[in-house]
Amino acid sequence: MDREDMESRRAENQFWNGAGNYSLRSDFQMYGPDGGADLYFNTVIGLVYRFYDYEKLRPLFNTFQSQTSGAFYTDLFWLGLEGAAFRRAAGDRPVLEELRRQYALQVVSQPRKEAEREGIANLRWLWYRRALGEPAREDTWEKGVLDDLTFPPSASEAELCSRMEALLHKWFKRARRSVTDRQWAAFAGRDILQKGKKRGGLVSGNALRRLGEPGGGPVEEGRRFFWQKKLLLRLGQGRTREETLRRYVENCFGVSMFPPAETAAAEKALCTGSHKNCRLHFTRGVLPAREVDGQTAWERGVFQAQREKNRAYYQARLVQNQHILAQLAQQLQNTILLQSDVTDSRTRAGTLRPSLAWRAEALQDSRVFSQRRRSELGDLSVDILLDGSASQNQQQEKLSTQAYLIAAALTRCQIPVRVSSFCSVSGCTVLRVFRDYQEAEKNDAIFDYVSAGWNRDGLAMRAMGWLMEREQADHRLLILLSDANPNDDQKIPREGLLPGGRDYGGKLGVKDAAAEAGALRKRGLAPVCIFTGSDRELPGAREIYGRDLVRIPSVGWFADAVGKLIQGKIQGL
Amino acid sequence: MDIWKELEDEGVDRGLLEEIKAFRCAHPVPEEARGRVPVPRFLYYGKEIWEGAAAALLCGQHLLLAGPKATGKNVLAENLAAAFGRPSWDVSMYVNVDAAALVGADTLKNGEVVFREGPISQCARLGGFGVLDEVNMAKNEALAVLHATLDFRRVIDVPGYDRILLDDAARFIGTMNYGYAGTRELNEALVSRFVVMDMPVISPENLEKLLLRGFPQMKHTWVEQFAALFGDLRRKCDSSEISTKALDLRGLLSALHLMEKGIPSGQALELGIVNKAFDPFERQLVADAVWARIPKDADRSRLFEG
Repeated sequence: MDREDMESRRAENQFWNGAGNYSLRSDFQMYGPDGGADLYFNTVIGLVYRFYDYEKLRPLFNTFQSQTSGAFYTDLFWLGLEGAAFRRAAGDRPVLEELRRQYALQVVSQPRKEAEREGIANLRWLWYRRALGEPAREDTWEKGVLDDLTFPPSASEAELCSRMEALLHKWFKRARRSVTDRQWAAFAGRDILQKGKKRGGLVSGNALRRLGEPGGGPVEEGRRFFWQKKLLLRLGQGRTREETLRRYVENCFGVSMFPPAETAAAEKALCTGSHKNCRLHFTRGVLPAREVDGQTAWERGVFQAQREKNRAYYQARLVQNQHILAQLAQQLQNTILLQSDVTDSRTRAGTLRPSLAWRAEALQDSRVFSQRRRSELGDLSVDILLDGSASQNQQQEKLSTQAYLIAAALTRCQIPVRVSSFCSVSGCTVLRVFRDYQEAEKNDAIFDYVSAGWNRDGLAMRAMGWLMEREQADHRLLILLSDANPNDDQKIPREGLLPGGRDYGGKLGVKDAAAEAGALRKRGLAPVCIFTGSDRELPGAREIYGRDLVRIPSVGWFADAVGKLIQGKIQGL
Repeated sequence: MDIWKELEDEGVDRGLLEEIKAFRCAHPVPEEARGRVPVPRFLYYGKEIWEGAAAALLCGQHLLLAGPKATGKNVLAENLAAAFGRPSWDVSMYVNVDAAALVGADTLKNGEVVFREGPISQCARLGGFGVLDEVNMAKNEALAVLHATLDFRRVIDVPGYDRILLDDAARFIGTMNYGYAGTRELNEALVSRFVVMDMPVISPENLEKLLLRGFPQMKHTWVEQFAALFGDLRRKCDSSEISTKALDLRGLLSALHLMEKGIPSGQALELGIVNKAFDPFERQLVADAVWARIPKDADRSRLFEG
């Protein structure tokens, strides 16, 4: 993970220290001038969530977002809330006084921006001079604003909002909102909060994912691929014409890595039950040399552009990435070294141990010799399967970088690793192998990762199990990066002759994926999930993977989590 | 600590306490094990658990205390041994523990091969309480030697030697932290020989009592804050944000001891809690949780009376 990921997670934890409820997610985080998460302010944001029903404050923040001075209003409202929450919590949490004092000293150590009297910097400076008990010279306007901003700690959410609106109207000539405005604000903004990237101030929290969208993730209007369009044939859904689909999939993702007969055999064995009518396509990403139509050429171009972005992302952070890689490889090597320890054991032949010699005579125990044995690691092979559906399209660069770091670290430790991704297009689950166990020099191909389409997790696991069992290994580790939200437009066929089918998604999708994970476990290929989804998907993830689930707050933590999992696996060998 | 008074204050059933006293009278401590009767420093707070555990022991049962970290499993085991007036043997289980380490092995004495008792055999012979700490860290094969000891047979059969019969007063108390890294499932045969007590997480009120008992001079405001800090850390562990390394009640108590001796709060808490997390980022999260409750530079006079 990079520093931004770490500080963001740290800020979330500081928020939870105050809120005391880990199911809450903050819309705002505070960072210091150095980019570090601010302990005092993030704790206070948590306290605001603890003391007030934030859902009742949110509409006012939402209206600020649509206004030109919205950022200023937001910061100003947070100053008022900070004061109210502090006064309410100080009795129960004496340390806050000291934390606030330190924060205030930090703010007032900056020169006052008197020239920008109505700017947030000036008001914040004056506010914290007051907090220190050393109020500075304030003119009537400044005094009026800050006095009105000193909300009573016992104020209700409605009172806080109305006081803030009155303040903005009185001192900043902001029009009061109409009833329609208020109603709109209660709903607006809920899905449009994007994770802010700016540092050194309040930024909004994690983006809310629109999971109901086709493809399982946010899709820009006008940029949908054909497999993301709603299918017209809702009942009696069948299979897209074999030849058309194969050709399209080959043109976009690459030719099959197996001859047609082998793919057909795999489909016959795997595309059964809930996955009847589905198809499989295993590819190494080698594109066919034939001419393609305009639509496919455009899509290829989009994919190629993404691949270049993936590589550019890695290169832009080369020093940091190489540092992480060295660290990860070192950790794994140390774990392997510890496991390959030399042990002395009592044997019937070897070097005589005088201290045991008496046992031979007295107890007729002939094991009075010792032999040194170096314990060897068995064959451990690691499979990493990435969710390659459109739900990941906001983080493709980061995901490919993280997968590359893991593969490169394992390569340095001579642990065979295969990195693949899966997605589903018009009923065809595509398994793209970027780098196979023996292809130590092909780690760079991991940057070819792109996300598109749907995700039929159950079939992907089934196919991955089939692929893994084609190779010999003493110990296997299958790690999936997933949001545990199976979602495919190819329906689950009804039994018998009934037409139509049931949607592959929601509870049915989870149930199917859980059954497939269970089947893999029985065959000794227990899948471990690195979960990147939200609280909403967590119960589903638990149903599928049980205890074999590691939750990470963002993709930036992928390499770290996988590194620890592999270390655990090596220690257990 | 007067354990009887503390237990009465806790509201533990008087009838049960009388029975424990009768048990003590009926089973005097053998001279050679007198030094092994523990003198507890902390009381386990939790009336229902206390009563359940004491009743089970009075009925001749062995106990398995199962619960997450810092739920007071060992404190309860020590308290029980003290209340029942029994010498105790603490046996730490680990992956390489074998039957010989538990029951005993051959040794030479005066030129003869003799049996040297292990802690389990000694405890059985002298009527002690054997505390099998982290019992699920040991391999099931090693624990199989205890099957006959723990069931109705109440014997230890060492091949080549006489059977050791369990003294009437001997009991075994296993502790386990389910789901700990490196732990394994106990097999059913072993579990069926124990009465299993699911140890609850200590409540904030009981934790405050525990802190006040250990540090009567501490100001009440700070007792509340330290108890709340422990709750904050537990919630953080439960949410998988940090591992359980820093959720260390012993560490918190050690830090308080240091503060009582005059070490500033920041340094003491780093030594007792924060530095328990070795991963730098995890350490940062723990530190943030600690500093959101306790000031870094509080000295003794700020935290303690007198």
